[in-house]
Amino acid sequence: MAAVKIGPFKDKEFTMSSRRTIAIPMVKPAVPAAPWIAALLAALLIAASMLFSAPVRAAPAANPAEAFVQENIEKGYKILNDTGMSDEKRRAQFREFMLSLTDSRRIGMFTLGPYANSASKQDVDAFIAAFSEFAVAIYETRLSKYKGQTLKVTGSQQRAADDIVVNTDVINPAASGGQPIKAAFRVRKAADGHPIVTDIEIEGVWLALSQRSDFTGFLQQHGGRVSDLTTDLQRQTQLLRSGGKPAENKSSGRILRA
Amino acid sequence: MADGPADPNDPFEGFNRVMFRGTVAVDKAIFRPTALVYRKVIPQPIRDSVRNFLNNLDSPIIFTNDVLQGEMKRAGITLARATLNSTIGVGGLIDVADKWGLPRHREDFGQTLAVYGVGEGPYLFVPLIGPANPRDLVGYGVDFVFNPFTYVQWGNEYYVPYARFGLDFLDLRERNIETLDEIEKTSLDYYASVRSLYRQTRNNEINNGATTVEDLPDF
Repeated sequence: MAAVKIGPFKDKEFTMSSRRTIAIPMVKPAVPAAPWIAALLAALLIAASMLFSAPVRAAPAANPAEAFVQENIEKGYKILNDTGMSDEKRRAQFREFMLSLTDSRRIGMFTLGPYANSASKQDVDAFIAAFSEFAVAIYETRLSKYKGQTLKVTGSQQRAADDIVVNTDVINPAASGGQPIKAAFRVRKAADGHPIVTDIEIEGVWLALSQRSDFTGFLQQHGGRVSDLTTDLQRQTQLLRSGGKPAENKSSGRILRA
Repeated sequence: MADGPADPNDPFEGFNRVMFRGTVAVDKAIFRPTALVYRKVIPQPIRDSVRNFLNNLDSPIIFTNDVLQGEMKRAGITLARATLNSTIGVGGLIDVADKWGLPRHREDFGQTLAVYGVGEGPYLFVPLIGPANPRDLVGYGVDFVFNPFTYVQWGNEYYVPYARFGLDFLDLRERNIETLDEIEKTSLDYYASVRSLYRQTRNNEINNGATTVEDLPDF
């Protein structure tokens, strides 16, 4: 960690190639101050990020991964801003859009950590299904909070030939001054060679990484039973969809057991 | 960075979970409701001014740590911000520097230690302070002792530092009501989520917001 950085307002280490903007639903960020509060803030952003979406095209991008993100940003933007669509239809379209962008099984397996190996195939399949629904439910709850934020591709970093992190800035029209929130998309290749998003980072917090901590933490507290995790995910999903105020009773009960 | 069944970076997990549970309970009984009242009673523009004012008081610490990390450009920004906001910004009540393209950043001695190569040590959940580790706790202590505003008082009374601390805490809690609710709502293991978020966010701060792709797991 000895690297000395020089960046002042923002590090311009990435090429500023495309300048597409796109809407991203996001909650207004709070002021990060105490570190742990900042951490929590970041988490919120993560949840918000599930709502994002993606793009489309026009100015030539520096590489295919950037073009992919840009293209899907615009696609998502279009769905969010199509006023001729009912909420119902918008949800459905966004859901389909989101699931098409990624590989739930690949991410789900990762979030199980070491427990992925010991679980039975049925348990894993049920978990993957519950996990996808959970992810969709989280982003759906945020959809209603979308306030016209836009997202623009600012560059990318390559980890490997098929592993590129595309950086973007989230622009909040309601915010005056300040730095844009940073979001990044990790773009890899699916088995059939198509690009997919495997993780999303908001202000330094990676979504799949965080979910792995969450899920493995739960599994550790529940004897490694993936079926318990699936049941809890389903219940959580239902609570999110019912818009109820879930967590209080349930989670304190959970914590007491822990 | 494998988060195994037993997180190797959290050897005191049993103890930490107990502390976490207690803190969450106190928060639900006292802090969160108080923050809601604060939100209801004090209008947002005033709350924002309070936040700006408190942030401005951290300037000496941010500046010092910018310098200690060799970030002279950022140190210059911190200095310019403190100067502008303390004068034109009416003693720090208005963040004019932000509107003029000098956004705020944070630094603290925990980050400086990290830049110097000091490891974080085991994860700790400290009651009422929150997620931490030995490195960051040392950092808080050093920053506290070296911040001149720690010693501001009137007469023989210590009201000023207490009031500052209390207000800072209250304002932060108010600003994060939805955030914390959301995290809890979307977590299966609230404790583990907070732990992971704390680590990732701290690392991001230490890197001054740059995305580091080298450390990502392969999947």
